[in-house]
Amino acid sequence: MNLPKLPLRFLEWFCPDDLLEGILGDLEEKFAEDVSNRSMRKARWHFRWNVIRLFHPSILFRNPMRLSPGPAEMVVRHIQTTSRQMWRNPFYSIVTLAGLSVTTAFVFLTLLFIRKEQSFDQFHQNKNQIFRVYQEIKNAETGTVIRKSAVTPVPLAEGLANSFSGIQNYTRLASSTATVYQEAEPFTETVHFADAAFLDMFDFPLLQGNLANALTDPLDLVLSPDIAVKYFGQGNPLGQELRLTLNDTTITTIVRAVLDPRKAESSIPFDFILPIDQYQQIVSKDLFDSYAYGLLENYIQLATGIEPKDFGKRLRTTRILEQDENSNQQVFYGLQPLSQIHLADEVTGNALYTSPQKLYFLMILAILVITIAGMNFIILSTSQALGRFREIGVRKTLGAQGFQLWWQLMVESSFICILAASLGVFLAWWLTPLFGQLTGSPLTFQPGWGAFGILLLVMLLVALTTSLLEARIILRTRVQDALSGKNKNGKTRNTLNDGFVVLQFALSIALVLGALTIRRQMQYILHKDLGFDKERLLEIALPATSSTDNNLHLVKRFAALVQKNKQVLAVSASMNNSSEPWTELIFAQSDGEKEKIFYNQIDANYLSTMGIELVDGRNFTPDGNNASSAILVNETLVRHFHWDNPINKEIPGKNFTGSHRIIGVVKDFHFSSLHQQIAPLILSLDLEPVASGISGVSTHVWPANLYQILVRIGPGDLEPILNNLESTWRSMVPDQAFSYQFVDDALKNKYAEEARWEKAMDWASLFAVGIAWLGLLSLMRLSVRKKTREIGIRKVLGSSIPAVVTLLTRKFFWLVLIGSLVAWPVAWLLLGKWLNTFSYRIELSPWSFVLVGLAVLIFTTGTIGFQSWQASRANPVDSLKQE
Amino acid sequence: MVDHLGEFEELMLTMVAILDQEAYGNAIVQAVKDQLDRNVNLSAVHITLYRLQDKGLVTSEMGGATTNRGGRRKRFFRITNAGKRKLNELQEQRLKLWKMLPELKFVVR
Repeated sequence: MNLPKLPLRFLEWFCPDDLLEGILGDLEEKFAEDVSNRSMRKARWHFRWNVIRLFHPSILFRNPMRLSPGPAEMVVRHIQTTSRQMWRNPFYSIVTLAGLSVTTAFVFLTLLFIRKEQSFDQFHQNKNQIFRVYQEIKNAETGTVIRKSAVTPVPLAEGLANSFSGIQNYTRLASSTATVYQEAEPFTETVHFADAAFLDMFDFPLLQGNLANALTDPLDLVLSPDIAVKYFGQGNPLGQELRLTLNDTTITTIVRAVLDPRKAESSIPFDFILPIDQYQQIVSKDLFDSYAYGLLENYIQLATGIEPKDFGKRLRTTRILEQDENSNQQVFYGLQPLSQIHLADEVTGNALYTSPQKLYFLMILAILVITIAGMNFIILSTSQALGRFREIGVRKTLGAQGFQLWWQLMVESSFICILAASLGVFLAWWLTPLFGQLTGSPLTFQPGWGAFGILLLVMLLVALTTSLLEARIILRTRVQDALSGKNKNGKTRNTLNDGFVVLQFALSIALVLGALTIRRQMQYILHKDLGFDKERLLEIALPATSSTDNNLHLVKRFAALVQKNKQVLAVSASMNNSSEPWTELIFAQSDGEKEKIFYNQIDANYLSTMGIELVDGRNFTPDGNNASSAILVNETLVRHFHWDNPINKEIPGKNFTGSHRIIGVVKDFHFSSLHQQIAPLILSLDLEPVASGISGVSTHVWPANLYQILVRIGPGDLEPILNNLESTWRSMVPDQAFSYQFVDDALKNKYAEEARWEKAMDWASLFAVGIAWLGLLSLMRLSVRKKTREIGIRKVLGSSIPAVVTLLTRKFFWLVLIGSLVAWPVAWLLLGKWLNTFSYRIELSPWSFVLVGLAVLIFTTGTIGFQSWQASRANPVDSLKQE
Repeated sequence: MVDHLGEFEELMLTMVAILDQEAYGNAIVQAVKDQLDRNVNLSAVHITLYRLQDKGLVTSEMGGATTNRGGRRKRFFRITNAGKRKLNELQEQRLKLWKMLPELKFVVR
């Protein structure tokens, strides 16, 4: 008979043996009948259908007596046993599940965040052929790198394209602020300048318009959709005119295209793009053509078939510039792949980047947390295994082999892990917005298969470790011992568990120390005396006109008007503001060295308005009778040149012609980030005294001019005084937006990133410590419970409650101590390293280390003391009845 | 006493009683087809017979060796005394209800 093979085998598999003969006989009889009465095809179909109909509970459940059930059925049974076990011990089940699932959520979110950061700039089709050019300045003799930057001169890309074959396309990308008018109302906006090739090289999605002729005419404009809506509403922006002012030139541009900047995944967040030629309105013609000034980013696209490595080598070995004979500095150029600029913090330009350290930090934290949770799980499960010796003993007696026992444990652990992981993924989905807020970059919950894959792998790894460890303990136990509920071979397990506990204590202590230190350092930075008074100090952006005199005049008139209000204490002006890096001038020395000195152009009221002390010499006089050669310097500069008496000295420099004199020295104040030491600084009323010695500039703000009005406001309401300032501003400069910031707010923003990370670190450590505690707590509970009988006997024999408590607490005391000894040096080293990235930092104090260790000790002994106190108070009769 | 029987169960029980010594899966299917012109599925018949067996209404035993069905023996079902009682009871119940009906008249509307 040609019974269909597969259904036949299926039937033989699931059908109870005693029923099989009768059933199969009937089926075969019917099959033969069908073959002769109908057709083979029909017969086979009937057979298949009948087999499917027989796959029915009332047949399947006639199987109970089989001694070797199939593997799938065994898995179901194991899961059944596991769930029973979990119901029976709700406390441990909740601890285990909560720990693992919260951890999963954390790790999952971390993976999402990392993946998001890695996905930046990946949507450009030519990402592997597009490179950002960076500049590396080296000392010719020692070979040490002096500076690396992706902010490079304007003509660089064009120069490279002319002297190297293989460059298919290039674009420059600069940015600046401009005043943009909607009707008559002015807005201050950030605008970008690029070559027309920008639109070819990058793949920002085109929403409206045509890229072919955009950015070819000097008055072409490309917008982001947000800006298009802001200025043109829902109407069609194409072909519309938009008036904007660059420096003091007002141009009327025409919108050619609307381009989606994909800000969530792009390091180049533009809103307006103008043709690069318009950048000459911002910087002068000679700067625009000079190789001496790093002003913008240069991107090149290599032709297909050009190997980036080879090109990089050619670039490095070829002299692009005629280098100064005397100079002992060498300039090299290198390439950064577009796909990598987002995570490169070694060489940075204007593009947005995330420090890869943060990703490492998050990853390490995730690994720590999962280690802790995994250890919790292992400790708890193995300790739980103790209570199941009887079950295991029965299984062994019935002939369970080592592999089968392990398999049971593996199924159990995997079941719990996967259950927890599912809960965790749900939790992650729920927490995504909060996590996005904490890390400062909005996240969307779109996990890829990779994340799930990693998660599953990690969970299976945890399950595997747990089950192997459990199996080891169980297999070492003799059946008789197991059946009598004794665990004689527990020695190894205890050492292992103690090891884990020590590690948990160590991690907790280290994390608490880390969080505390980071918090103290941030507090230190946020409240450090900056050398000037940052409270109630206002910065108002001045129009970027090309003439210093115009602005100085404007400041004087403005000051005269607003100072009628008694609440305005002082008014001054400055070139640089508090939120951006200050201008750095480079002075060539006769020995070929280059001195880099910070520079700020100010007016005569600067020191008094800012509250900066003068320590030597004299200040500028506000009456206007200042020698044109006068400059002020800071203390660091004096120390830098090892001067005893700086007054009337000159800054050394090859091209100086005796054009300046130092008239006074100001006390050091912090004008750049607290990550950096205070650097030498020159203050002057205009650039003229030092102009002749300048051989290069690195800055966001150029040319030298007054760009900020500083207003010091006295005590009292801010609201009326701000209104007063604004109305005065509007009457004087109607075509420039009144945009201001409070210096203390600006400084807070400067460290906002750090503050946010501090908060994230706080939460993460709190969370990790919480998880660790959860595990330790349940372990302590378990260890006390295990000793209930012992406590009972001791009490019966006359032991006092304190003696019993001491007995139980002693071991944990030692574990905490060892944990501290492990944690302290590691934390000391790592935190010291982190603090070293700040020039101004707190000292690590050994006392805080001891204190944290002590706190952990008190908490631990307190917890276990309380539990053992409870246990020892119980009536010995009850506890001895237990077995 | 055993609880309620479904329609199909009742049918199977009756068939087993009718076929007496010859009640096995295919014979029952065939008999239902012959007597009632109703197609029943062989698997459903088997499943129901085992259920009846669980309820103690039928018993089964294997018959002698055969030649026409791969040499496999038939499983013959026989009605037990409990089964007979059940059939009787069902019959009585039906009669009792039948008598309570007012005379059935088919009205032409």
